[in-house]
Amino acid sequence: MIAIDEDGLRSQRFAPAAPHGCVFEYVYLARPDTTIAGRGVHEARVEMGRTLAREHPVEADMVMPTPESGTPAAIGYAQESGIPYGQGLVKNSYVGRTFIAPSQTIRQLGIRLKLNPLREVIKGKRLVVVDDTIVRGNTQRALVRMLREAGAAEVHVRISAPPVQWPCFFGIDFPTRAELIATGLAVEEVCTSIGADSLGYISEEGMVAATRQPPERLCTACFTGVYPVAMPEDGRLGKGVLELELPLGGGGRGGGGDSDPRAVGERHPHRQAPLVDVPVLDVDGVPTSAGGGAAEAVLRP
Amino acid sequence: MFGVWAPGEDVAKLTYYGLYALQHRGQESAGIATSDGKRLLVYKDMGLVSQVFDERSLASLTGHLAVGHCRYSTTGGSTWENAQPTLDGHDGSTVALAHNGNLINAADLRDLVAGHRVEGHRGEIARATPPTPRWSPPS
Repeated sequence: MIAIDEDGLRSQRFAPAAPHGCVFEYVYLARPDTTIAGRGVHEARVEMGRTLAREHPVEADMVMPTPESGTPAAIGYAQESGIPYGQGLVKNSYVGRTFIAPSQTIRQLGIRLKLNPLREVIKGKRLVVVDDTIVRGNTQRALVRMLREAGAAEVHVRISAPPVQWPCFFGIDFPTRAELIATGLAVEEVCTSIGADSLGYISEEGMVAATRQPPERLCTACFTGVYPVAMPEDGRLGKGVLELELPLGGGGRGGGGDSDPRAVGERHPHRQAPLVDVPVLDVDGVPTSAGGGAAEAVLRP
Repeated sequence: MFGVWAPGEDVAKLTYYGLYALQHRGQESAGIATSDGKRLLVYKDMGLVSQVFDERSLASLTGHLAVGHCRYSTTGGSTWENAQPTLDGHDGSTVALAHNGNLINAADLRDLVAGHRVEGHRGEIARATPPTPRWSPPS
């Protein structure tokens, strides 16, 4: 614990440390100019790309990223494979999350609002497209289709993280297991589903090695299902847990009284804004974890 | 999250640029709390840091210490009520809190706190447990 005030800066240890740092910080979450536990995040991502090239080589004409998050790994894949690196997509970074429940017309513009192909670069080429993760698969499916329409001869997708198969309870709002494409499908089936010519994920070992962290100091639960601490029982976890009526269990003495006819755990009908897990679609037509910011803004006074 | 203690500096603007650098950590809501040690001001709304704040709102946030937060919701819906910093307290003590991370026993803690308050507060568990002297855990 760190305190900063007129007496200066001081720190105090209040519990023994047993860190299990998030491996997904190295894969995607952190800014590339961050250093975590002595390891530069950009360099870790480039290394993941090199490892990916060794684990899943392919004959191709150009390595390109899905910008921006796939860029460091694509650079690494190009370095290791010797295949030239190129930019086949232009990203519009100004499409924020402002309008997350757009009209059907806008939604049909889909991925093209954010990413546009450079046809002269792509045409006739066998492409290696490097991205950091496949979560639901909708974005990659649209991307592969877009690249083929732009004239790509082949599209080989390479992912610089293993398949995401488990939910995170520590800070990533991944969809439910049912929505994660890698939960129900094998790699070959995911490949078919997104329409790629081939698909390769980095191994868990390869990813962890690129972080240069001891495996026991990392949390890899979203890939392995091995969580660093025991989880509470079902129903007492998840995004909506705080919007449930008090008390959830028998622990509290206050909250909803005995005369309250609502079942334990039921949402109070009046005292809370709507849960955001009702389908809210982003510009890709994908339910977004970003929740209903703009949608709820119109409900507020 | 970002925090600064800097008498003589424009802490609201320092916090604004701190949050601007941290925008990738949360893009749903943003807020800044400032204080002169006697009173607390909190300004927060849904949206990106650059959408929530402008010159006028930053100028209204006076004081020599500040905390700021940009939120990506993982527990508690993406609503204005859950945006941070939170503001709560009791007679003579007010606390603004910016919190990062998930408390996996949030539901248990919330039930525990609810049992010890006349009126159970709702919202983020952080909001339900301000470190005020009025409440102490059961022995």
